[in-house]
Amino acid sequence: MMIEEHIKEIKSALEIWLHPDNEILSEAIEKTIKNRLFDEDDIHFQLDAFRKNIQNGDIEEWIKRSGLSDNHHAEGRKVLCLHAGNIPLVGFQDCLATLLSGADYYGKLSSKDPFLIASFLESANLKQVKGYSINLDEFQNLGADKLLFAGSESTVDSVKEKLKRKNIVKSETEYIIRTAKLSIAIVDEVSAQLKDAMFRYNGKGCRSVGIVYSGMSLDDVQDQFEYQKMNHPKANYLKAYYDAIEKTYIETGNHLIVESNDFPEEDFLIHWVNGGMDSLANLKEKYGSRIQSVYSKEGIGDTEKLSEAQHPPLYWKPDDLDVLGAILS
Amino acid sequence: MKDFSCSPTADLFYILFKVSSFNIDDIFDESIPFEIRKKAVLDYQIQENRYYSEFYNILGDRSQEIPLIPIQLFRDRDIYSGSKKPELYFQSSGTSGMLRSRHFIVDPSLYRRSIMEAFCSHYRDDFVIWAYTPGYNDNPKSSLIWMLNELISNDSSGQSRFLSLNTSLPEFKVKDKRLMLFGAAFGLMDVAEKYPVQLTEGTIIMETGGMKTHRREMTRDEMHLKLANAFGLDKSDVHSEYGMTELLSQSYSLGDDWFIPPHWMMVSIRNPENPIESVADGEEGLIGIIDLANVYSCPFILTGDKGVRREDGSFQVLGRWSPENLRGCNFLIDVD
Repeated sequence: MMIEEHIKEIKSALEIWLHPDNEILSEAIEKTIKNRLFDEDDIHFQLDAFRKNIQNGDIEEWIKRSGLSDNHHAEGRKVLCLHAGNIPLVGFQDCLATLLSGADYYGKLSSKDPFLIASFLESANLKQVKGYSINLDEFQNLGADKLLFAGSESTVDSVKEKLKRKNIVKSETEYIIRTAKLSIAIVDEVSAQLKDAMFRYNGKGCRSVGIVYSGMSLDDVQDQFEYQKMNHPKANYLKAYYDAIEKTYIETGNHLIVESNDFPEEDFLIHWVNGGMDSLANLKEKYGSRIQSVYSKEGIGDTEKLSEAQHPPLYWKPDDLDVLGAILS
Repeated sequence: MKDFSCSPTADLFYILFKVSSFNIDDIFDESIPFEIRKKAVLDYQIQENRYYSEFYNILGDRSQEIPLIPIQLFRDRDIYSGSKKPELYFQSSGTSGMLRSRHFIVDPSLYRRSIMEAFCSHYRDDFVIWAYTPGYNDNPKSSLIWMLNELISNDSSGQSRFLSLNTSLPEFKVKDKRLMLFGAAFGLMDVAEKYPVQLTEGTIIMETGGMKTHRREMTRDEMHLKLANAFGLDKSDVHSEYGMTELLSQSYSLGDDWFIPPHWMMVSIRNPENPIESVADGEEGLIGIIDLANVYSCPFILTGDKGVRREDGSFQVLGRWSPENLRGCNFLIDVD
């Protein structure tokens, strides 16, 4: 496989797809908005992040890091990506990694994000793209060599079982699974970056901040968040509880921020922990594989930069796993 | 049992009379309808439990049913009601850094009575209890250990005891008694795997849950089958106990998947999206509990467990409710 030519072809396909005049992409954006799947602002934010990634040389960097070369590629392998749909184009990294590796791409698109990745696949028209659909049955008897998906511990077994029943996988299929739920920020101020990391994509991404560690208490920062009443039955129930036990919380329309040391089990909850950097060592042990990333302002030590929470480089490692490297292995 | 087929007004007078003359022992008096006992305990809570009272004030008007307070109340605050100081407290086990639940016990005799009455309502035969509780021995504040101590001390034969850990089971030689092997599921599974042995006919294995922490991949049904096979028993001889630090009452399942609460406890299944509402029998939701034995702490509790209820009031526990599945990059095969 001639990697240089191959990469050139994919980069060109990406540039054409991301061009503002690309009608296929424009139509996909329009349909996504019309079907109320995602906010227009979030879609453009994600696409802009990809444009910057490509301009910054992320693809070249990713290839270097993963060791992709003329002699080390995945040509001929069948890779099935089960794409999630919690935020726009959340599965795009898996799709791109598969294509870069040289493997054949099969994509089960999410019914919550059926148009955006499809627009790239249609626009790119690459030989490696063997099929994509929102219907899992389309992949019956595929016998994939590798399978990529993001799920939760509790759904992994049932997903595997279903794939086996339909012969989508075979006994030796390798699963590349990610299970992280949310990220943690360690901060000493309530910055615009922190708010973006918390609220972008309605907080639904695994890179979104769901737990904040700070030397400041929630009382200290209460007036730095804009109050917006949250009117959701479960949130109203929890607000009644917090009021009853006199616990501070902040309503920001779609989220409740509350002081708690627990893992936030509702997607609208953001937990605020009044504790500083010295808690970091215990975080992985405490929350385990449910944590995606830990951010700090400067990205010191094992933390990532808070400013990159919502636009990571293309080669970022979900669940600490290099997707491209895993496909090549 | 009092006849309640008379007019609503007469019922109301009866309820008011009974509530006003209610005393704590009446919690265990099955001849008093549950609704009356519940009303009396509710009134007491509203008067004496400032946190529940406030919670009730906020949600009581919006709800057709008694609002159940999140179980984390036992972690967030020290809960006890009335003027008496607690004599002891139980504490849940937990990993480092996690806050643990604490259940303050104002009247240990209430817990004793709840343990024995719930147990004896199902197990009338003379049982020798062998307790196998690895892990729990490290927690001196374990309510399970306290409960087992109580059951053991109530066996007049003196043969009931805690078993040594990591050894094979001794031979059961007590005549005219049946054996009950009581323990946390993961501990019993370890014994079953390392030291399988034929237990005497009539033995009951009582598992108390706790598998989720240690062996996620196994269902309760599979676990019961493995235990039965390892000890030469029928699967119906493997029973379960549902209890927790935050509750002073236990429910038992007698060889199937359905837990039977004692008559002073009521389980409802609440809508996870709106816990002030119950869902219909047969539908899954969050397990809500009214445990009247918790009169001095808080009896109206919403757990974090997923369950389903039958019309007869029995219920199944289906693991933890995990709304966190909705967060993060999830591929949900049933949805997608």
